Amino acid sequence: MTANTTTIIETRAACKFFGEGESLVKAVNDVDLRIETGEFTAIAGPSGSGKSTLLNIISGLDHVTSGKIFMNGAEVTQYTDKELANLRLKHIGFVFQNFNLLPVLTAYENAEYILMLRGMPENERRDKVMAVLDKLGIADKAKNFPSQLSGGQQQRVAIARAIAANPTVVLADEPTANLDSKTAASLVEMMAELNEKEGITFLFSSHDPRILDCSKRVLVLTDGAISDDQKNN
Amino acid sequence: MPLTFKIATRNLLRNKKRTLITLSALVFNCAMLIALFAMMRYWIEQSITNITSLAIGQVQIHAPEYREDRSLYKSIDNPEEYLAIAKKENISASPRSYGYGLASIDTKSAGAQYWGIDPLKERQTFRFAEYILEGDFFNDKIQSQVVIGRKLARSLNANIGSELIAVVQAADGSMGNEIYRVGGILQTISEEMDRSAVIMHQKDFEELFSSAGRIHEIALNSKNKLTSTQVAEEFNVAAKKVEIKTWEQLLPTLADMLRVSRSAMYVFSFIFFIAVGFGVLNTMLMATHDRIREYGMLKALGTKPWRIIMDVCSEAFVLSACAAILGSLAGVFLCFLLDTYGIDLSSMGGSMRMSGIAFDPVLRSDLKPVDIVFTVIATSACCVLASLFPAIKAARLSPIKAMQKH
Repeated sequence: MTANTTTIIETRAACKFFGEGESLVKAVNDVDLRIETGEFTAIAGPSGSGKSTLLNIISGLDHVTSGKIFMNGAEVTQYTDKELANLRLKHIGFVFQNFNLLPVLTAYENAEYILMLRGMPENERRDKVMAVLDKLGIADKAKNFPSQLSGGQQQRVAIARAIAANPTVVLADEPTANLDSKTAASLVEMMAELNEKEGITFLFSSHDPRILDCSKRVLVLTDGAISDDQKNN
Repeated sequence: MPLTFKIATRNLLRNKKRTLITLSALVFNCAMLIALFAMMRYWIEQSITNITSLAIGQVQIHAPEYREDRSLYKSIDNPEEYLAIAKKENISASPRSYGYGLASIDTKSAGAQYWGIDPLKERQTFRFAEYILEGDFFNDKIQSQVVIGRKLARSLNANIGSELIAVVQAADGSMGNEIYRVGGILQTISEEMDRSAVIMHQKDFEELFSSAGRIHEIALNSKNKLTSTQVAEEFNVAAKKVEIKTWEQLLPTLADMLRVSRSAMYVFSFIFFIAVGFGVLNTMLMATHDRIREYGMLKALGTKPWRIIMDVCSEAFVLSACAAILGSLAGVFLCFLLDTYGIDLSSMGGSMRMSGIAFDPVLRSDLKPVDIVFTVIATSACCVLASLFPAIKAARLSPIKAMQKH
C-alpha cells in the first residue's frame, strides 16, 4: 500500500494507548495526518495532550496500538526494529527537549556522529559538518564540549546534528522548552529560515504561543486527537 | 583516532576515580601474573636442570632389572657400545659403577653406597663435582681419596682428611677392605647421595670390589640440545639387553608434579581472570547504567545495536590496553627485582627437596615474551568478554524508556 509521493508523513487512524481497563490512557487517539515536503508544522497542545507520543510513533521510537504510519509512502508500522533504526538514521533528524548531546563529544563531533554512522568518508564529513555549524552560527564553538556551551548553543548543535545528514524530515520534541524566551525565539527563527532557504521539513511539538506564531501550520492536539488544523500566512 | 575509541577514552575519563580503581586492579593482576609465570618457569626449569645436570641426567642406561635389585653382578653388557653412540651423537655420557658396603671412621660406621666414577667424564657430563661443601672433588690423577655425602659425613663425624675404612663384599666373593682419605664433602644434591654416597675413582672401585670393569649405569646428558625422549630414542635403536629410562620415568612423581605445576599456572591465571572479569563487569555495568539516557538517545538517532556493543566493548578494551601496558611494565620490573634479589625460601625453614632431589632455595624469574603476550591478550579478552553483558544490555534498551530514565 502506498500513499501520495509528495507526502512525507501520513498517519491513518493512528492510536497509541497505555494501560488497560479503567486506567487506559488514550495518548494518541485516531489521528489522521499528512505532512507534505517543505512544511514547517507545529503540534500544539497542553502537557499530556499526546504531542510527544505522536512524534514517537511517527519516528518509530514507539509502536502504534492500531492504525498505520507511512513515511515516504512506505508503511513503517510493519517495520522491524532494525528497519526502524535504519529509517531513523537515514530519513529522520531528531531534536530533543533536553538537547541530548553526547557530553564526551565536541560540538563538531556530535554533529559528525550521524554522518559517521551513515558511513560517510571523513573528509566529506568535515566539509559537511563545518558548513552546517557555520550556517547555524556556531562554527567557532566546534571544538567546545556541550558543558562549555549555553542552552541555545547546545540546541543549535542538536539541530546541526539533525540536519547534517540531509534527513527527509526533522522531528523536534519541544525544542525550546528548556530555553529562555529570547533564545527560544531566535532558535525558531533559525529553524524557519532553514525551512525557507534549505527546504528542510520540520515537524515539532510546542505549547509556547510565541513559537507557534512562527509556524506555517499548527496542529492542535487535545486528549490525543487533532482538534484543529490551522494554516498561518 | 576513530570516533569509537575517542568516545571510549573520554567516557573512561568521566569518572576518573572509578576508572583508576579498576585500572589499578587490572595493572596489579597483569604484573602479578607476569611475575608468577616467570617465577614458576624459573622454578620448573631450574628443577629440571637440577635433575638433569647435577647427577641423574636426562637418560640412564642400566642392565635389565638392575634398578629393582641393585646387584653388583647386574652390570651393562658391552657399555662401550653405548658410550660410542653417545660420542657419535655428541651426548655427554658418564659410566658409573655401584656397590654397597660399610663405611667406618674411628668408632662410627654406616651403610654406604660406593660410586665408582670417571672424574673427567663426570665433570664433562654433570655438575655435582662443583657442589662441594668442604674440601675438593678429586681429579683424574688422584686416587685413594673419596668424596662423601653430607649426612653420611655427619653420622661418621667425618672431616676433610679423615681416614675412611671401606668394608665390602667383592664380586669374587672375597671381603674387600681399604682405607681412603676423605677429600671432600658434598652439598645436598639428592637424599640418596646425602645419606650414603661414597664417591671414588673408578680404578679404586675396581680394586675394592674386584669388579673387573663392571659398569652399572651410564648417565646421559645432552645439555639441552635434545629432550630426554630424543636422547632415549638415540639409544633405543642399539638397545638390546639394557633398560633405557628418561628422568621422567626414573622420577615419575616429580615429573608429574612439574607437569601439574605448569598446568597450575594456567589454573591460577584463570582464577585471577575470573576475579578481574567480575571487577570489569561491575565497572561497566555502573558505567552503562550512568549513561542509560545516552544509549537511549543513540538508539533513537538510529545507532545499530552492534555499534552500541562496540562502543561499550571499546571502553573495556581501552581500559585493558592501558592496564596491559602499565601491568607489563610493572611485571617486567617485578621480574627484574626477583632476578636481582630473589626470594630465599630457605629462611622459611624446611628442606628444599622433592622426591629426594634438592632444589635451589632461592626463587628467581625466567621471563619470556610469551608470558607478557599471554597476559596482555588474556587481560584484554577477559575485559572485553566481561563488558559484553552490559554492552548487550545497553544495546537492547528501548530508546523511549531509556531516555525517560533520570
